Amino acid sequence: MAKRIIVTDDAPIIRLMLRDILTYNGYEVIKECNNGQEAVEAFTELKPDLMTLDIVMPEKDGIQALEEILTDDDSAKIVMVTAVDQREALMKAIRIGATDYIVKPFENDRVLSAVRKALCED
Amino acid sequence: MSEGQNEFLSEFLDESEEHLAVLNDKMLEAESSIKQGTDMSDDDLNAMFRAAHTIKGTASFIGLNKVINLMHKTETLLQHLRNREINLTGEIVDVLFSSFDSLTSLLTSLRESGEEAGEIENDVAKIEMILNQCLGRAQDAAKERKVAEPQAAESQESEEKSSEPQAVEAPAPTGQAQDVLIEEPGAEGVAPEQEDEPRDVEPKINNKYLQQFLDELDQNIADFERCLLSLEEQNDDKEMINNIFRHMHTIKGSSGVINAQKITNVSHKMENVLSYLRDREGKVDPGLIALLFKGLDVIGSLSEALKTVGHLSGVDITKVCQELDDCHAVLIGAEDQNVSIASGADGEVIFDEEVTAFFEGHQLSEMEHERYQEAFKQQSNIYNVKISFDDSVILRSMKAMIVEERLKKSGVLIGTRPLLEALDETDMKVYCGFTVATNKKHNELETLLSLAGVQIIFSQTVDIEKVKGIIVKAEQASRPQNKVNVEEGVSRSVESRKGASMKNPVEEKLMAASKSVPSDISTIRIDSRKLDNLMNLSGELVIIRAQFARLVNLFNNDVANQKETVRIMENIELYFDTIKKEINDINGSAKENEVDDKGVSRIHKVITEMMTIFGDLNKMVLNNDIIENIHALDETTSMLEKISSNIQSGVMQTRMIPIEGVFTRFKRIVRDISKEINKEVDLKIEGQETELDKKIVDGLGDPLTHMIRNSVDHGIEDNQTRQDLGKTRVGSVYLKASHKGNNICIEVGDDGKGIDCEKLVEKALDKGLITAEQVDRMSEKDKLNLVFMPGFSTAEQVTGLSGRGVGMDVVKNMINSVNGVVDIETKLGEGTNFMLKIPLTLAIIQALLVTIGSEIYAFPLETVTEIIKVSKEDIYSVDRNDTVKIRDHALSLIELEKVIKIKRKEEKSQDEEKKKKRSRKVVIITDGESRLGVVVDELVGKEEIVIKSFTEHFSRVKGLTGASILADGTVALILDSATIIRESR
Amino acid sequence: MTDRLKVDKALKLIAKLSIDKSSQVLSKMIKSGARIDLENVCVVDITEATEKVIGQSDQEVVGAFIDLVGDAPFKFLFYVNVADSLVLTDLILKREIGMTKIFDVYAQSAVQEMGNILSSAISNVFSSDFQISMAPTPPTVINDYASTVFTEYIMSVAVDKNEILIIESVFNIVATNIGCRMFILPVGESEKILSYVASTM
Repeated sequence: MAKRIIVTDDAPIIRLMLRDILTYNGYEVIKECNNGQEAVEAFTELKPDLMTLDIVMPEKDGIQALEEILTDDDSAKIVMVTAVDQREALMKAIRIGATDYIVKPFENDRVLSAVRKALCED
Repeated sequence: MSEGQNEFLSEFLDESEEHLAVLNDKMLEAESSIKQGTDMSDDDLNAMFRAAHTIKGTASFIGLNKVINLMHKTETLLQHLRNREINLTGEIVDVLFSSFDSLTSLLTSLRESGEEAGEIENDVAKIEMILNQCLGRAQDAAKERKVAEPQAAESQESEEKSSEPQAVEAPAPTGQAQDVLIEEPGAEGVAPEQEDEPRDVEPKINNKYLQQFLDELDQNIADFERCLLSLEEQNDDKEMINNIFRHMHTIKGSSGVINAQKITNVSHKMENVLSYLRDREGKVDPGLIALLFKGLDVIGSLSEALKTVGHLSGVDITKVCQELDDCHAVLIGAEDQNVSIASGADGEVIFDEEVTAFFEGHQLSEMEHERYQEAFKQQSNIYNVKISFDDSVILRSMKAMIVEERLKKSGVLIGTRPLLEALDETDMKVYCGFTVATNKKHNELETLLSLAGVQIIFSQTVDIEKVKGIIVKAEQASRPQNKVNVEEGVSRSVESRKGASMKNPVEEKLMAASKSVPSDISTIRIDSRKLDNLMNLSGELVIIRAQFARLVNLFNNDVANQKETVRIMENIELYFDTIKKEINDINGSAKENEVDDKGVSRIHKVITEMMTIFGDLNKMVLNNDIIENIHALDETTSMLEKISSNIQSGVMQTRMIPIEGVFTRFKRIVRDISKEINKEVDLKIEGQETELDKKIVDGLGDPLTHMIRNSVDHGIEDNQTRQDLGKTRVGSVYLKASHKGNNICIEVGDDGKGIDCEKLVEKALDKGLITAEQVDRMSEKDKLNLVFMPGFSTAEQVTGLSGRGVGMDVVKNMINSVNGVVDIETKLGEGTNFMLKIPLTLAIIQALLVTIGSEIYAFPLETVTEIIKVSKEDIYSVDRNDTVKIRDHALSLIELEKVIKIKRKEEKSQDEEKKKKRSRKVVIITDGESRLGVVVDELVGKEEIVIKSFTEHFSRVKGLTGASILADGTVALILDSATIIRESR
Repeated sequence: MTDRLKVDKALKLIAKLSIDKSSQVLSKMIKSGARIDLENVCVVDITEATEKVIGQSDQEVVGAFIDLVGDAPFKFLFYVNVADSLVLTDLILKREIGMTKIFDVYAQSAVQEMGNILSSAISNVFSSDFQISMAPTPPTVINDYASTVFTEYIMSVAVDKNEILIIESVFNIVATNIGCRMFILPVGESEKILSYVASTM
């Protein structure tokens, strides 16, 4: 059965890109979220296998959302999506417990490798 | 010239100057050997040839045609000289000197304007003449002319395209397997950057000499091939490597002349590789030889192309150039930071040792020790995990951080090596190691650490007994100084090697740095602008240090203030206590007024509350932490002081060069002058190893030259006169340099006729430079110093050399501009001595700060002899000058604004105040000879200040040499004592 | 060299380095060869700026403004003409060029993300190469004529200056003719800081 993934990003085109890559490789994108608030709610409700989470978003950013999700479920697999310069935010996210990260603009194989390893599919 | 070539130009100029110095030096020696009837040594002749050849080589790369041609001629002559085919004569010496001078002019004009200004025709012709005469072969002369300046409109150039297929002498020293090491110091450093921009436009080949060049080229290719084959058979034959290098160098040189750029490019890259090989011991890799053959083949194709179609556009050299570049880069190895070692060379990985040592239990921090102990107690499993990263990972520290977090989640992370930031600071392959105490099993751990971009090298159980042993030993050895908290994240991988002691971090870094520098490097070239920058920064450091100290002071004041506050509050407490008591009394005695009762008890309540608040405030105020912090700040400030001192002197040291460079120049000058005016003079030099700041050395060249010329020309009598006077026939000029305290002392003297003071006075009076009255007030010293007045020259004849009105005043200014002073001593009939004293530090001086009006001024402490208080009664007037008697000497006093143009932004009333003052403070300044008292308002103190010199707009302001930013940010103007004294006359 | 020239040289160098990084990032984004070239570094009077920079060919464009705040703050503008924005979207999504036919939410998002990513790259160069710490703010996207967009862009600094320093670059994308531009406009004390930093290099 295909693994269920939620994609969170405030830019439609990024969501589309991720959706394309993931679906093409056999994953199921069960929901797309626009901001941190939606992400937290969706995660609680749908309990996906993995979520990709953009860092900079309106109405609750990725860090905040990450924290809330992990407090609720500390086994959550979350891959942060960051633009090339957001080092500090990334550090914060990792210390909070993010599973991995990918850097925008991303290369397909890096996205896939991060997802695969996060889902422990070797 | 393109942008890139400009950088090489300045490197070329620097190096060529050095080579030129060699040429001049050796030539001087040659001259004296002729006189003594001895022969020049082979070494010296070779050295000269090499120097000329190198200059030619590098010049040809940049395309400096005049230099190339001049040097080519010179080189040819030198070649014949060293082959003993021509004998060295005085005439040849002169001709060569002349060509060296022409080269100097070319270099100077290149430095100034980037253009080769000046004629070389004369020198070229002269050299050719000599060659003709000595070798007596018309054919050679013709050959020389062929390779000469293309633009030279030489009508007598016969259409001798009949080239002799045998190798022509000059560029290719055939078959001489000597130690001809052709140095191209500039080339290697230059190459990698140069070849960045592929030249799209094919430059025009110089067809005139094409045929000749092609023939030579073929010969050289053949020679190269022969040698390369020989090397292949015996691949550690150093001589052969040298030969190959020379052949390639020749090819490169001549290809430059005809503008066959592609050939130049390839040969240059070949040369780089060959140069590297030449400097190394050991065998030459067969792969490398193959690459060299490849390069040779490409050059062959280029040659073919020229022969058949006459241009090189059809041949592609990019591939072989790339391969040669890569090869060179790999050879250079770790020094070249752009090389990604991961791509092929047998993987040097960094932090390996650190990780291994860490795993064994060495150099752990206190916290890590504790965690280990805890883990031992709990009897958890302890694992060492070593990881590496995929090449694609950019933020390695982030990935490592993820591993850390996961490990932390699974148990207790005992520690990580190296510190995470270090992982991002290098492009080389790295390892990273973690030690974790956990109850998870081994395979669980591996699953846990599955992370994109990270490879687990191994994860193994720790040998607990072994680690325990090492830890126990370490704990016994160390003192509780291990306050190092590794988690602080300070990048201190060097310190961790030393076991986290509180050593001076600068010392540590220096020690670490010195360990990693390969021992055969003793000098490196540094762009002097970078040094200037460093100097500037170290100057800033001085300012900041002062600011720091000031803040500490303020802090201290604050604490004092707080204590004061406490005292006040205690008083208020007392006050309230009293009120309370009063109210109690009232309370006790008032029974009727119920309303009052309530009011009073309310007040009572408020007071009690206030007491509580005071109690709290009291506690807060006398916060002991502040005092501790101040002590820490104090300590840090002294450390900062020490460090900045060290840095400052360290930086200064880097700029120090021996004065020798300037001194040797003079040998030549003295020789030239002696010849010109027919007066034999000897130059005696002492102390040429004395080191001083390069800037000073540069600034001294001209003044010293002037003074030496003066001595030779005017000071020293001609040989006959000397003999008649009973002196040694040959006069001497002395140059002595030494360190005295914080100064450099340079003496320029002669044993000539000395300076006649009275004559000076006469001349000065004549020229109206001084008045008779002034003469009366002058001491011997003052009279001598007349020579420094502008417009002064006592020479009866204005000789071409030293008397053009550019006199000693200019010299004095030049010396002053490096903050130095000059003094004269003379004895009639015996000689004259100029003594220069120049401070070692250009930019930082000790100064006396004073206020005059509302401004702060700084007197360089060196020029201050005394500070005195003068009461109004003691001031009397001499010639409308205020004067004061100090220990039987008269001292003139001035108010600064009367001498130099400074405005006093004061109110009239303040002025009146001042006039009422009974005594004034006076700073006595000196310029080495005379003294002057400057009236000031207040003395601020003695401080070390950084001189910021003025930009052009302000440099003409008399009396000021610069400004300085003080610790509190105000600007102090720095006064020029010498000028002030001069202006006051 | 006069101070003005020195500043220009320094700024050009920093601009070049930043733009090189943006180039890399752009290539990755559209999975194709792309080069961003430094077109111009100049100081212009505000009133003439639009005229000088946009000139006569006024097209309808989509622009993304981003404010970069930090030690050396600057305003960033990226714009592309509407037709080309559709091509850009296709390039980013690796679709056949022409599939995006109208300026939909994806095209808008594409321009926005491009602005985001490019400005991040530049800010990254500042912080990692020059230790100037910066942080981006969320982008604003405007669809209008180039002159309007540009005027809007520079108006934000009109308050405290009469002259502005503009760093302009032009894009070259392999096999296409996409016309887009990117501008960096240092604000406040940035100019001084940047030239100080560059002078210590």
